[in-house]
Amino acid sequence: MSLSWLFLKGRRVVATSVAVMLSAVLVLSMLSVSEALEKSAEERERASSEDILLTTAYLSNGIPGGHALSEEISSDSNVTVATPISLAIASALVGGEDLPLVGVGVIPGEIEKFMGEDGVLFISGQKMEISDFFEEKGDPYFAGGYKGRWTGEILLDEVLKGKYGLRKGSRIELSGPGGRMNFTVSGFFSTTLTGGGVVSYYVKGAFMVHLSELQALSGLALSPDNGTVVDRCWGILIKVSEKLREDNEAFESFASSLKARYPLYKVITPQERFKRLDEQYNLVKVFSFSISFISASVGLLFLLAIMYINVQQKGQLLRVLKAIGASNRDIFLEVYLSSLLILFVSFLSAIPVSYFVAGYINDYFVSSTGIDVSYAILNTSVALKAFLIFAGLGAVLNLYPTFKAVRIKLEGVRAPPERW
Amino acid sequence: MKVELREVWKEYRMGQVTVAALKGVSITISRGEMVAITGPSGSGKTTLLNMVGCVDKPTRGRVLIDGEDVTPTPLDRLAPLRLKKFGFIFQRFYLLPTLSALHNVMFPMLKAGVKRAEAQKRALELLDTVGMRERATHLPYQLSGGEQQRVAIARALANDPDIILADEPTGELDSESGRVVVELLHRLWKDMGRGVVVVTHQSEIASRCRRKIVMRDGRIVGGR
Ligand SMILES: Nc1ncnc2c1ncn2[C@@H]1O[C@H](COP(=O)(O)OP(=O)(O)OP(=O)(O)O)[C@@H](O)[C@H]1O
Ligand SMILES: [Mg+2]
Repeated sequence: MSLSWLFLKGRRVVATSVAVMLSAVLVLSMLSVSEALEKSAEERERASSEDILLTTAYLSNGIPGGHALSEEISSDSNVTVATPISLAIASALVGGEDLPLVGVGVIPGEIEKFMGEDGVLFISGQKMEISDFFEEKGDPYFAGGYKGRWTGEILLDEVLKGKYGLRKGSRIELSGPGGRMNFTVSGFFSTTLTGGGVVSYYVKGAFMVHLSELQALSGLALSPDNGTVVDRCWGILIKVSEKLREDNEAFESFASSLKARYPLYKVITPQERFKRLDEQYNLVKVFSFSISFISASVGLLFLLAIMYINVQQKGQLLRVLKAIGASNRDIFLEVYLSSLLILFVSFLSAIPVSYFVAGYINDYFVSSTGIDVSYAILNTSVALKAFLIFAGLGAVLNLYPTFKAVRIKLEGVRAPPERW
Repeated sequence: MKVELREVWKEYRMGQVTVAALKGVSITISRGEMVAITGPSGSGKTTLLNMVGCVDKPTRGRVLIDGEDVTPTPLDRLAPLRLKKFGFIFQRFYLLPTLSALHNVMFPMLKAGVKRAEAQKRALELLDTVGMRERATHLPYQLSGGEQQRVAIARALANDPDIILADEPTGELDSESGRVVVELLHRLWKDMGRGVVVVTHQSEIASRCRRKIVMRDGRIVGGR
């Protein structure tokens, strides 16, 4: 076999390769991100020691009487620990700026039981890595009917460290619907809670405080009308006993008994979280695959168009090839292999570029969460997937200009040059 | 080898009008002959040459190669025949712009299945024959028109053809380069015993050919 590589010369080929390469980079990055999202979410779910989350169907209402409800649930012999948690948005007033943060309110002594030995805590699939912890393990402000001892302890998001000169011992004023309150920084933690996406656009970081202090700050402690204690919280984390954990059936029946007991709330089990996650990531997969497919198509249609133009312009040379003895098969190979070669070279050069892009995406997310999780994984399976999309589409699309070339009529070679 | 055209017609339909480029031409051309085809523009010279070289099909009539009727055979199936029995030389040279002079000459040999080393050796010899050995590594755009045509002649000789078909091979060349090309074609016939068919407008070229065919209006009107 011998080819004249009639189509592999000139700036046009370079431009085409770059276009195909860019579309390949997009495909590779897209697939890497969807792979990483799936992997890391799955990992987080697996590492999580929260078994059941009781929460409201609608965020706005919240669960009233959170402390009491937790205690009620804890009294069940199947439950090791149940603890109320609260989520709220509040502003930190630092350096003359109004910094919107997302806050987590916990009872330290209880939430500790959900933490791994490495200080890793998961709440609804969000990861928190806590190194410094609260001095006061209880919730004394609540114990005093929201008039008790104000600890003022606060853990701040790692991403805020260094910014605004915040360090351990710094004083910080937070403002929420419940008023303005003072805190003292007792440590830092990193979290995926604000990592990337829309959330990170509005919210500049996270903080963690005692549950009752967050309730006071966000107006969830007392009823605004008559000042009675309402103790609203976002959800109740439940850890079941070892026995229940091992026994699937017993676990299921316990979960449904909870559902029956608290029909107004949502009872989310790990199974349900996995299912929800699956549905979510199926959507992500379909989406990323569609985008990949479209992007690959655009790149490859560009290649097709250029090859088509090449065939039109080199028509006379193709006729000459036929005249001096090249068969239709030779012409087929000449055109088809050239376009496939452009495709492969472009794809291969896209891999290192995508590798850097994936690294850049990860750096971006790591710097915004402080947690070392991958947000783009370019591994062999991703590269193979992308390659299959490319090779499959390319193999089909490139048949068009190839057959155009094969079909060129040899008879035309007779025409005097001025007609060309 | 012998190519025989019997009562060959070539007609082009263009809407209502039918243009007849060949009107019942009969002619036999064999290895060992040097034939000139002359005649006014539009008289059908190129059409006739292409019938002989099996790059076109007659509307009516027969084309026989060594007595075998190839008229019904599709043009693509005749590719091996064109590859091995004929050598083509075009007015505009038509070297493959992506290949060096050497590779242009090797190209038809590789298509014919000749081993690479062998092809290279023979291509260099052929380039030597046309006086282009020193330019073997040059790409077509680095060569003058006359030089390109000499490489094209070497390419036409690649698979040791019986008949070389040249359509106005000096049409784009100055008189000195043209003379060199004609000299080469003459040698192919005289020293190497090939059949050479040259379409030309130039009487000096025609005068060097023993056999002359004159065409007018799709018919052979002079010579046989
Ligand atoms: N594809 C075509 N469609 C219609 N008419 C054609 C076609 N090809 C050739 N002809 C006509 O056939 C006739 C013979 O053409 P041909 O090219 O063989 O002439 P020629 O003798 O080689 O002329 P020249 O000396 O100018 O090269 C001309 O009248 C030409 O217009
Ligand atoms: Mg002509």
